[in-house]
Amino acid sequence: MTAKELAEKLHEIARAGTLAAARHLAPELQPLVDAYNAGEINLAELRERAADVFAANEARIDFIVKTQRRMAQSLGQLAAQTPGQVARYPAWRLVRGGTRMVPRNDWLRRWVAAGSATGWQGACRDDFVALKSSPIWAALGQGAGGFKDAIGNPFPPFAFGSGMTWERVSRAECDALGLVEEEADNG
Amino acid sequence: MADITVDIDTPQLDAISRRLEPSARAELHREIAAEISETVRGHLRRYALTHHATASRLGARPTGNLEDARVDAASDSSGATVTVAALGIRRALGPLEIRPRNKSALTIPVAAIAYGRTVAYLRNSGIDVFRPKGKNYLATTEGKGKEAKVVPLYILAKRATLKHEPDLLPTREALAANALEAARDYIMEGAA
Repeated sequence: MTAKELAEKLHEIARAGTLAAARHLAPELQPLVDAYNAGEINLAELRERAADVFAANEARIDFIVKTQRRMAQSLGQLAAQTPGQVARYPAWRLVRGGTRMVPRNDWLRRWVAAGSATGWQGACRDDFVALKSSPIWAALGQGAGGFKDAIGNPFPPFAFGSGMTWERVSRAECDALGLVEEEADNG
Repeated sequence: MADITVDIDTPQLDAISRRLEPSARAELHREIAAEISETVRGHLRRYALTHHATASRLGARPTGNLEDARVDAASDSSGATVTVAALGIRRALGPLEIRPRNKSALTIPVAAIAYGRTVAYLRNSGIDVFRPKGKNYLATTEGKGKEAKVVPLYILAKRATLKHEPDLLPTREALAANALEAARDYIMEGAA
């Protein structure tokens, strides 16, 4: 797969993800989430106004809003992938994106389960790094290994309430990690 | 809107862009926008992990404002724009004065339970919030009878100034250098 083809594939994931994301969110919260995403209101105001229109406690409101917001972040990131970005940064590393009062400590198990389920194609066994084309990302999102809190997307957040995200990994680091890409077709 | 745009055009980037046909220039700008948006995104993520001074001081859960910041990239043949939307992001460029909107005063939380929550929200949650006579803060009561004590929740202020936080974003020089590297890679890839 060429860099251009992979970038297009990532765009397709973003398009499909956008439709799926729209189904997750309670529609009555959408205007408030949009305002929060745009930085027009803060979380305190969102909680107050959401409580007026959505019969749920703070924990549930936060849960929906933050999940939706993080999905939007990932979708924007995927949609912005270019052939140049894919060529210079062929992989992602799973990293912590936000602090948690009680963080999950099972990401190694999740990674190993997802890697085992996909034959470690394009993925490192001893680092949370995998090529952007690796099927491990979809397996992680599907909860490989029996994790029932998986959201079902091949992009962060991979589990409900998760603060994990991904960051790009340079070609030089991929080479050092021994991650091998499929031969590119330059035709 | 709580967003900012930083101009990173340089003579070198301009020189590269001018030599290209419009369609190639659009592709170049798209590459630059993607590079800058990823750079900013990564920077904000790392910054958010280590900057929760207020929440930490109060023993409260961070709101995740920076962690959830939206970074959008847009481009065409005339240029590239990366927009960062997050409350208070403008303090990356200088001190930021905030004033109350539709209220007579700002409510600055000084207790964990007040952090990330409005007065109305606390009251709707069943928490009594009142202004002690002669005081410039809002409070609640904990305990009953003789053991009851007044616990400050919010300080009232007409305005507040958020200090300049230049480290909130990558420097202009770093962004320009990243943009130039992306531009050179684009040119080299085209020449290959």
